[in-house]
Amino acid sequence: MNRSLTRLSLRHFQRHPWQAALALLGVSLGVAVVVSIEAANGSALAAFELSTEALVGRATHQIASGSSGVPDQLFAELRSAGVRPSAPVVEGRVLFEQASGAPPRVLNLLGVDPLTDRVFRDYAAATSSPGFELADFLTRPGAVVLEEQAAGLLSLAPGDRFEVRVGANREELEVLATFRVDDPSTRSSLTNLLVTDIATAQETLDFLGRLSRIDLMIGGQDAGVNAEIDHIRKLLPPSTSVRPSSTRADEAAEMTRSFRLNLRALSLLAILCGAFLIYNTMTFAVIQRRHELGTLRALGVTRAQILLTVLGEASLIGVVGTILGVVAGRVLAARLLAQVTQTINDHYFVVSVRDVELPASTLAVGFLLGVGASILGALSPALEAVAAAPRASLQRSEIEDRVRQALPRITLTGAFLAMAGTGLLLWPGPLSVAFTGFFLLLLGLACFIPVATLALVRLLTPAAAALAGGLGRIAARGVAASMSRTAIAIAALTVAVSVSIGVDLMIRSFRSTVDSWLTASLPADLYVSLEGAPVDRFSVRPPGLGKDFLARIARVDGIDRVNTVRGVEVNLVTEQRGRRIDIPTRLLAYDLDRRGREAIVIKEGDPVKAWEAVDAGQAVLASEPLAYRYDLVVGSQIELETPTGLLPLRVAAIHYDYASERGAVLVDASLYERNWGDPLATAASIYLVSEGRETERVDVDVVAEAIRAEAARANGMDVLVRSNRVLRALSLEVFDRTFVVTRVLRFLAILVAAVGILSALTALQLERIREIGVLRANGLTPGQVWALVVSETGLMGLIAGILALPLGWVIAVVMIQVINRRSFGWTMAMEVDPLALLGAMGLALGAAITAGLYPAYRMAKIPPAEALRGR
Amino acid sequence: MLEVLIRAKPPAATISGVNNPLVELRGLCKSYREGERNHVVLENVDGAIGRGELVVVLGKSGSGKTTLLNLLSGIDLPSSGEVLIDGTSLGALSEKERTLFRRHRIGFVFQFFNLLPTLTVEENLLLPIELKGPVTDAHRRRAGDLLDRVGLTDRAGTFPERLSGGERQRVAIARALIHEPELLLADEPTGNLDLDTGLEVLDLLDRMTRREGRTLVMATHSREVIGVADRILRVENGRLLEQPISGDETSTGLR
Amino acid sequence: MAALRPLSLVVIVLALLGCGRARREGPPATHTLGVAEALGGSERNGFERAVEPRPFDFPRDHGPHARFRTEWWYFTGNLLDLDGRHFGFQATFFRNGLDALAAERSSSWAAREIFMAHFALTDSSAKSFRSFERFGRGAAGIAGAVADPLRIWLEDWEVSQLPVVSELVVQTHPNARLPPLRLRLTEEDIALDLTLVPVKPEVLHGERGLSRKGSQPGNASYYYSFTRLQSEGTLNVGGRTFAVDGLSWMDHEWSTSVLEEGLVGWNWVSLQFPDRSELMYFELRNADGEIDEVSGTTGTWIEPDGSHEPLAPGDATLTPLSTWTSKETAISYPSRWRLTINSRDLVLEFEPTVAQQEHAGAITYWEGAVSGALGTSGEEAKTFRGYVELTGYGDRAPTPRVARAIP
Repeated sequence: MNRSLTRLSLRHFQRHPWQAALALLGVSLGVAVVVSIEAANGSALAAFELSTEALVGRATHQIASGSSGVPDQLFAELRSAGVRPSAPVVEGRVLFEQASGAPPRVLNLLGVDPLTDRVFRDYAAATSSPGFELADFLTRPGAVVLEEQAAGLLSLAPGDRFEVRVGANREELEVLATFRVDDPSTRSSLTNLLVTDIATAQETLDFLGRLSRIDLMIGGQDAGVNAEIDHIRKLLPPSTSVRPSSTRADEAAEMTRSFRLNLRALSLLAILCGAFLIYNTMTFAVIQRRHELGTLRALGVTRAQILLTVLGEASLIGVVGTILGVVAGRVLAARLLAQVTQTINDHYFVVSVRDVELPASTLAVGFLLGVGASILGALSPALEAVAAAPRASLQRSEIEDRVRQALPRITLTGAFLAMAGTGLLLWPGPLSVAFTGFFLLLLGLACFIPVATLALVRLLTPAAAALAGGLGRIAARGVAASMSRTAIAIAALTVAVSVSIGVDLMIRSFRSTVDSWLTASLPADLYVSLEGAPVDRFSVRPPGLGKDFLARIARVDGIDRVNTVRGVEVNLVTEQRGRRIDIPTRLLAYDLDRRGREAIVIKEGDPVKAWEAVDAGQAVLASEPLAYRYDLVVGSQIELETPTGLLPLRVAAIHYDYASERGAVLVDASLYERNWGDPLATAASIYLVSEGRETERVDVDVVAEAIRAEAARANGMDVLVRSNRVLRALSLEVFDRTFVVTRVLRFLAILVAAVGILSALTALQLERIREIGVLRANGLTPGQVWALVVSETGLMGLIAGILALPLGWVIAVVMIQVINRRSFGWTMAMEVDPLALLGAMGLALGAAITAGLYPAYRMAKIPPAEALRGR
Repeated sequence: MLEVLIRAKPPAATISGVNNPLVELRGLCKSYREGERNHVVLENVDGAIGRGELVVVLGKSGSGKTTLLNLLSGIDLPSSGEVLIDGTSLGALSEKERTLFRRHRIGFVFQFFNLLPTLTVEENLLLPIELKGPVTDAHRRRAGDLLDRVGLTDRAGTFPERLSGGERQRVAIARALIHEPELLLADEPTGNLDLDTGLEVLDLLDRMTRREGRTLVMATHSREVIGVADRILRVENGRLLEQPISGDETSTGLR
Repeated sequence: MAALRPLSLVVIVLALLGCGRARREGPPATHTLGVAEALGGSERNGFERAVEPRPFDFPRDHGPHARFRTEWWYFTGNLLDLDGRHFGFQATFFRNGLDALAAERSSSWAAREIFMAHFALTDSSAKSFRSFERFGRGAAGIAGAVADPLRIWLEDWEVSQLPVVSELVVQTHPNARLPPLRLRLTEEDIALDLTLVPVKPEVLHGERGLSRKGSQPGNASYYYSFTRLQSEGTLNVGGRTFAVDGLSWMDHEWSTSVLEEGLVGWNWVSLQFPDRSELMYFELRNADGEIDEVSGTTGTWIEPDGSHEPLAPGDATLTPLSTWTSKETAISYPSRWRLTINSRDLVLEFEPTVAQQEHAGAITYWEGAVSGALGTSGEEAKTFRGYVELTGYGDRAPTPRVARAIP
């Protein structure tokens, strides 16, 4: 770039610092939002992958069977049959209560056989502490080793004894030694890991006689691997299967895929707003210098030089803005990460993330967006500026004319995009296609904004004139006449507000659907369950309430009936598109009476017949998400892996279930106990005596206390006794927690748009400063300047608000009917709250008017003579 | 036409010697700060302009002609001294009062026309009225009348940028007169126009101001214009000087 | 004492926590330790020590002795196929007690002992030697030892009492208190399946089976052998099947503390002669490589009829005639010997059938088939064969971090 041209660029931004600042702000905000979401998303998953790596190690395959695991003598049999390398694993979650009073931490307890495990898991280049002895590790009950820093975080040192909670029980463990890992990423993957001998893990997790899985390492060519797997399969009992170990990370990724995709979609909405914003800002920066560029051309500067200068400026702003954005994004990501992690922990699996990671891919996305959008934003006005003959750089009116002439084309393009988008949305392809469709539709509809703006201006002009007289008319005219400037700003605001409306409608509808489902699903008076670590699908079979205890509480005075449910992980085998597939599924074994059954709302199938079939042990109820994902219908045949083999069952009905997006099957409790040999219950629902005793109603609190007393008598078990009201509130709390991040994103999108509208309007108004000078000379009072500017920006806000209503509704419909339905398989009833819509309108108006305040202030203050000089 | 202008010329008067002046300048000073330096544009200027006078202010570029006009209209304020229009001191008014005063009594014609590009010719014309309040049919008739007089009746719905320079200035003159001001200020109204067009505009200004009893103060640096002036003032080194009208200049300048 | 150092458990600790790159099961060879450390005395964990002679009670004493920390069952043999192709094999099962006082546990995986096993095959005509190593806990059916019916196993490496003996061609010696055994080991492309029949009674070494390894009481082991096991079976190597027969030797030895301070290793020789006599000889070496003066040398001469007596101290002398240096570990071992027994006026020279018979697993040592000729050379009938074990010649990769304690 020519030096004097560079100087010119610098001078321009020196003289218009606000313009440079707004451009930077626009770029960095847009980049920050995207980077933060990507980073938060990525870090949560990366953390899980890392900890998975620590747990799975180099295993290529594993022998497993849901949460009931495999019989532990199978290992010796396999070894004797020459299946090696192989390693037994018992894995579960325990709750560590911190002395500091901080919330309990969930730790992974990994039981390994040190003699065979080395091949699979190296807790790398570690040096054992001097106190460590293998004999103690193997023989001392409760002996664990953990990574040095992890120990520090838990305030544990070698020799310390500490308690962990496993279900109802407290188990004492002892830190035998700590080991040091130098590689930071390996170290962080070991953060929540307690390594124990397999015997200790069996004892601690109450998983005697069973292993969570047997890890295998099968290498070589595909054919060889398959032959080896077939060989191993023949050695296995019918209930167990060999799967690639990668399924674990894959499953985790798959489980959270929809969730992450939804987040990404929201961040893309933010990108959309951000891109508008960046485009907007850069366009202004160029347009402002139309005359200057024309002069330069007249002086003999070539088109290429001017283009280069302008694009150089844009790149500079893009790069600096992106760097600022990445920094801000990292800070933001740290906040979002907590939310994302919480959601994943609430719904999917246990993961703990301490550090935000900014992988190269995230940085690349940020740079692509920041620099790319900046250059693209500058490109079209720069081309416009150099395309004209040297002297006669385009007059404003000519630009406006061009825009006006382009309107039909833009609108037509919009119509085409919207149709294409709708087509993709209706096509039952993968979710990413639906997302593409969603964005095409949004972009297409955004293309209608200029036309709609014109129409609305025409419509609103009389009202504006009536309201603010000639000023109103001037304002309206100003909006319509400067389409090249106003349309982008209005579009950015419209998109942002409509996203806000759409997301709000979706969450509202979802919440009210879940709320009414919860109300129907929690008919009992009290619910009893165990306190303890959350159980995910990689843990050993979770602890539960014993039959004795249940029998005892059934005798508590005031209790009419006790229903129970057992929740475990199983593998469901079914056919999809002609292929047999294994689905890790949640199995709920219910022992229910009439009232309990009414709480399960059947979506498809005859409830009476369905329950008969379930009682007869011939059928299951499939939850809506499960049925949706795997094309299960009433009458479908499925098989469940049990410790004794595959159990063929029929789908008797599909029921609504918003508790698990992964889906669940519901079976009869006795069928479960018979086939899985597990007599425990995960939770019990308690119905109190109500009939015939109206005079002296049973006091729920008294019964709850009696149940707790029974629990205390039974080995001092910690049980949770909660009323349906509390449980419903807790569930909704989790629900709300899930959507905190969504709300944050929505807020960010609006923030981006508000900054966009601010910069757009500021630029727009400041560009008109001379015009204001003329008006002032012609008798426009400072008060009228305020009125003019604010009514112009307010009009833009109003238009954006009005346009955002239908667009927001479309977004909500797409999110409810397509995106969420396909992601999670849930049916939701759309619920529209007029107040919320009004709020969104207010938001648009407020943002726009706020954005007009500064330009109004400046222009009212400036002496007209100075304004006339165009400063 | 030019003969008429020359014949109509009133007797010369000294700056201070105007009876019942419309505009009075008292000790007017204006300076701008430019970095460290204080740039004095007008220094202790006194003067008066009578009602119905056509006063031409001459001076080189940057001599302070525009500043003087801006001070006269109140869109700029003096560093010291005061401007009285019809006895009202502009400096004593608030910004709003000053604007309202200007709105009612002063019209403006600029070198660069300064029409609003987003408004049509008619809308530009009616702008000062709209700023005051509702536009009545009477206003519209007046606007039509004015357009007729400046010869642009058929361009009422056109946007300014479609007009030629002369046409634009004619619209600007019409706009300056729409609210029937007593004082019309014109800052280099022919500065951007070719000679013939400039003369037409001058003629128009003359017809529509002095002949209707208005006062016109016109800043220019072109000597061609001075033939029409009742008086000629020169801004030089921050001073305002009365310049006698010489026939030579008039004839050579206009012929 | 056939066999060597019980594994150091410290080694396994390091295996668990370190050595990411080693892709083999079991402890890494990079952290081996001296045999002296491995067999050093320790009073902890409530193990008994071999202090005085005791009566042997078979078959109970064929089984494990949980009150002692270290125990091994050791089988070596020289086999010939129908074409006279020579194979040597070694199959050793080590039991290492972890804690005699360990608490009762409810998990069936709770281990009180660890097993290590070595399997080596020498193919003399192919000049090849392959050795393997395994580890397993003595729990959950993975590894163990049972006296009656006799079974010692680590996964599918197994020595067990032959259930049906009627089909045997060779008759068990009437005084041999050991049932015929079946030895089965497979690894990679090698499968060895042998029937072992004791054709001579047991030999109790040292003082009625108490084999002293130092001057201090308790630095000793209980040690008996079956020195002549008629062996027959099949050997599969690389897809080829060989019908083989020959002679094997079994040692069973248990102790808690063996080597005295200052000793670094030993040389051990077992020879089987064509006239049905056998010799077991060992000498303990100190850090200077000298034969230890106090414990000196010892051995047992077994007559063809099974009668045997310990060699008097100083009666026998083992002289290395050349050395061989391992390419893998750079350790030098003696490689050809002259054994002189003064009282019998006997001079024996013998050498490895293959020079490279070094084990470089958790513990580095040389153990291999040897052969020599009696009298004038070249006479086929006078060939004798045996096994030699050389320990304490060096660690594979000397490490400054000397592992200290043995559990």
